[in-house]
Amino acid sequence: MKQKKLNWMRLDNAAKIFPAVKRKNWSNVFRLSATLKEPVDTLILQSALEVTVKRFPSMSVRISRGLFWYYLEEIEKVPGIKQDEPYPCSRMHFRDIRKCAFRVLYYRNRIAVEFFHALTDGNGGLVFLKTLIAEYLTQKYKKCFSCGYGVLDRNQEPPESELEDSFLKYEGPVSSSRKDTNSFRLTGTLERNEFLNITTGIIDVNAVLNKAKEYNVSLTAFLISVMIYSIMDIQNIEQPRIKRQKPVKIMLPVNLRNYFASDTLRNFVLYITPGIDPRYGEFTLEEIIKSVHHQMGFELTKKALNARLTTNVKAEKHLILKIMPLFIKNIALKLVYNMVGERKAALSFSNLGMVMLPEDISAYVDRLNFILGVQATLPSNCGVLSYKDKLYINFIRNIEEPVLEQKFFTNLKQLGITAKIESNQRDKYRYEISE
Amino acid sequence: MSYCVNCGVELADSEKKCPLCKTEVINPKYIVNSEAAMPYPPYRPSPSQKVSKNSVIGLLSLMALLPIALSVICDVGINGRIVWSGFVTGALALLYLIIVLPIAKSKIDSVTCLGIDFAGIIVYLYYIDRTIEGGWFLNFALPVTLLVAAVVMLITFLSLYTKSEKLPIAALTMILFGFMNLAIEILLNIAFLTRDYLVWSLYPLATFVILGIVLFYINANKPLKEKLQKKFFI
Ligand SMILES: [Zn+2]
Repeated sequence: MKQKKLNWMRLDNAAKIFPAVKRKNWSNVFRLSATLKEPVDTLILQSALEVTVKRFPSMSVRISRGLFWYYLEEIEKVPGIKQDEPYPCSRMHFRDIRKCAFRVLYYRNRIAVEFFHALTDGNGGLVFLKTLIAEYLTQKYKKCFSCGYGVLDRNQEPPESELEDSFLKYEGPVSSSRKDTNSFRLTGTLERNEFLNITTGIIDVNAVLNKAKEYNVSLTAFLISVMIYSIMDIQNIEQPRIKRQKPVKIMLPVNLRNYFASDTLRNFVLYITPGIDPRYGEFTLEEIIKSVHHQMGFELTKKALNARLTTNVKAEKHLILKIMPLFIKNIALKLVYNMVGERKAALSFSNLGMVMLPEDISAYVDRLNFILGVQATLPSNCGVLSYKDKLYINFIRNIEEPVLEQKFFTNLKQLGITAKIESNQRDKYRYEISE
Repeated sequence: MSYCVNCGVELADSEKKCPLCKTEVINPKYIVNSEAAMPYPPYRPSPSQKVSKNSVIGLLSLMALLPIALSVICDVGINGRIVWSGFVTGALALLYLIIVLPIAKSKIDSVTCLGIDFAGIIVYLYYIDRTIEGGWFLNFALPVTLLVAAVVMLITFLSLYTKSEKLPIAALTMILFGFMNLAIEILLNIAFLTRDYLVWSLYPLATFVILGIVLFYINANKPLKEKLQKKFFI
């Protein structure tokens, strides 16, 4: 009998960097989770996963090594679901990524999916999670749930358009310069045993929207400004001499599907880095908001993004890079990444926006959450989404001190927005005696 | 619901203290089962993968046994009896004692440890002396080793187990070292009947004793000590 041939795919333009820059103890991972009204039935979840992965051929993959590039290869066997860990986005070993580059975890009422970033971005991952939840509910309650809002029909054959590398499709004639200043970076005491602290602020989304409206800016622009304001405070304490301070910038991923028609479920994201330079003088929150709003307005146009996108595609298509053997390419890409990749911003702030589900499904889903793993050398990251009437702001950090979290949420409090804080902090006393 | 009295944020039921500032939550009017609300499984630190002490000792023992076995085989093979391999064995055994003892008994105090090491050295020297019929063990090797052992152990004891300052210990070390030179020359003269007067040991004796006295003097003179500290700190 002839064995079924496994499909394979090139990595998309944004994904190429992730396997190259992985470290011994770090790879780029993010998590999406849904909290249901009842405890998760693990047998049904496993069976729902088996059905769902067939609809997502670009995600049910492992990373394999070619002579010149890494590539995605379909997996033969669906991975087993696992009990959740005490912290999210725990290290994905590269030897695991070479077997399967995502994992499904459960804890009480919650189903979580963690992806190696080379497979997809937050928006693609969200479609996977929503479809998995719909299939789980279908199997559990033995009835039909509607599709739409990112819930895909599992019986449908996956269309080509979902698997395309949209970066290549929208390559333009002109590229823009990537020159950018370095940003101030946060520091702290590294946690032992690779523990990751997660601090979630749950806020009434209308309270934040109204506040943003007061300033006539978007919710993202408002939150980023508060973040910059908080980091500026931290820098003022660490380096009181204004002349020696560094710009404070945030890396903001932009979902290109909002600017270029695309159904792709693979990466289709670019980054901009709005920020301020404190050496120009003392900034008030109003000034920061105004500046960030205009920076975003300036950068977030179809033409400007197209030029940025073209820069990245041109870099990938460079002949010398293309014919470099993989191990040399890895060294080269790692060098470039170390020099520029994580120096241009203090952290990433990724907002998936208002996430919707079909009504019959959302009746079973209490909460959705988006957590970005830490970066190789930056201690903090921030993932945000809104669902129903709540905004969930997730800070992750691999250092002990919650300095940024405290500054951020107390600054919001001073603006009249009270967050409800939830965390995975350890009971110091308990874990010390068990040691 | 409870609020952090310090930050003003609302706290989820899972939080026993504020995750932002670690302030304890005390709200007698709102008592919840925080365990039930925890968003993640409780953290149990995995036992760290330490290399066990026994495995290190085992490895060192094997590494010491290899050259011992080889040299004994060679020696017996060539000479038909143990001629020189005893020295190799003794030296390696001594090295083994000095390295392994502090690893095996980590609670052992340094002075006792040094005492045992010096005892090993004395035994080894005795073996060499007997084998080559040198006749220098009793009247030279033993007293010199005991003298050095006494000085080293005294200094170690003073610097580790008493709260005395570094400067007077350094001064004492200098003076004792000076006298040690003197003692060694006297013992040399007696053991090997070279001469009956002193030739070289008076120079180090004078130098080190004077240096020691200078250090004592600096130590006693507080302002001077401080000034020197300011000028010469590293
Ligand atoms: Zn607090």
